[in-house]
This record gives sequence, C-alpha cells and structure tokens, in this order.
Amino acid sequence: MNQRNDSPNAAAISPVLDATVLAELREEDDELLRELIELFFAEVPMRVQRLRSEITQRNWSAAVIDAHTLKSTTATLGAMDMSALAAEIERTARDQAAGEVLTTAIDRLDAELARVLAALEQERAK
Amino acid sequence: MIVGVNALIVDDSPFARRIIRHHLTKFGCKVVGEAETAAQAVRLFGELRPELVTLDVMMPEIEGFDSLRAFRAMKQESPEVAMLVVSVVPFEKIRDTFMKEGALGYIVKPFNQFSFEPIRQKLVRVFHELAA
Repeated sequence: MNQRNDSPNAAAISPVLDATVLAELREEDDELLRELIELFFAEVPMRVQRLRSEITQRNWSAAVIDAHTLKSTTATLGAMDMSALAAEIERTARDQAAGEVLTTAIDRLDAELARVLAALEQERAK
Repeated sequence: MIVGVNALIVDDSPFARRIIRHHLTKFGCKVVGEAETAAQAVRLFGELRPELVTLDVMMPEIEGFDSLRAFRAMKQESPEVAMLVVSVVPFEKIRDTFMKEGALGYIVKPFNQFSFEPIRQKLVRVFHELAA
C-alpha cells in the first residue's frame, strides 16, 4: 500500500511513515515539520473521533468531508496506509454504503492512527 | 518573489492552513487572515480586502455557505481577486467547476514539494509588477 516507502533507509526509520516524505519536509523547513507534527496531534485524533460519530449517525456528507481531509493530512506527513484507509472510508461513505462496513473500517483507521501517533512521537523526539 | 500581495487562506484544517501559509509567505505574500469556514471567509474577505485567496473546495456548509457559494460571493464583491482553489487529485470535476467560475488556478492535495510551484509561476505572471 505504501508505494513511496521503498528505499532501505525509509524502511529503517518507520514502516508506518514514509521517510521520503518526512525527509522532504525536513529539507523544506525543519521548524515547519515540527509544527505540522504538533498540528497533526491536535487535529487528526479529533477528526477520527468525529468521523466515527458521523458514521454511527449515518451523516454521510459530513463523513465524506472528514475522511477526505484525513486522507490528505495523513499523506502529507507520509502516513500512507492511514491515508489509504481514509480514502476507502470516503469512497464508501460517498456511496452511502452499509454502516457495518464503515464501522470495521473506522476501527482499522483508529488502530492505524495509534501506530502513526507512536511513529510521530519518535519523530518529535529527534 | 511577489512582495506586497495580501492573502487570505480558507481551509477547515489548521494543518493545511499552516502549509499553505508557509508557501505563500515563501513566495513573498503577506497572509492577512485565515478562515476555517466558508462563511467566515466571506466576512473576512469584506474586512481585509485581500488580493489573493486560497479556498479549499471540500468544506462543510455552515451558515448557508459552502465553498462554491463563498467563491461566488468573493468574486462578486471583488472580481479582480486572484482565487486559488485547493483540491485533492482525483476531483477534476469539482476543480473544473471552480475554474469555469474564474479561479486563477488550483493547488493539489496532498501537499508535497511540487504542489506549489505551478501556482508560484501563475502568481508571478498575475502580479508581475510586484514580482522581484
């Protein structure tokens, strides 16, 4: 799923985050990367939680927007697996598909979020 | 560099706004405001009169404004404003709608090192008298 994480160095840093993406951001501006990690911690868990309740309430239009934002926010920091899961939820919610499928998907997204936050915690410490 | 162009960033994600701010500032623009809803954008637009607006096309409708309605309101108030829409790659249809409405260009999400370069070139052309 993680197409960009194909170099040995990338794999060594974290299987959850694409190291190439992080390296590009660090090269652009190290301070920016630090701020983005902080914003990620502030925004993404809240958005995942909100997405879960939107799915429970079958509020498809709101779910599409939150899944859509999660898709690009996570990809921007190299969390490509999480981005793919958000994209899957966005597609399913757009089709207003069965809630059960989405409940499973949001559980997977939550689990991946925990992995991403742990990986970002390591980046934070650098 | 485009020095002296006042910009307004409209995006419901603080994360996305931070990246856009970084790049606009790098181009030489002055970010005079940030809005997290389309309705707030229309209000701030009237107060700040920016020459450039970046607008996320996927924002929830709040207080009767979604992105397209906000786009039209701002364009109507100031037809010469340079509007840049922000959208995710596969959404050509939505993007085309905004281009037909008079958007100057679009920034593609997810952001990477290449997302902003085409926009920088367009802005230099539009604001050429301010380009250093």
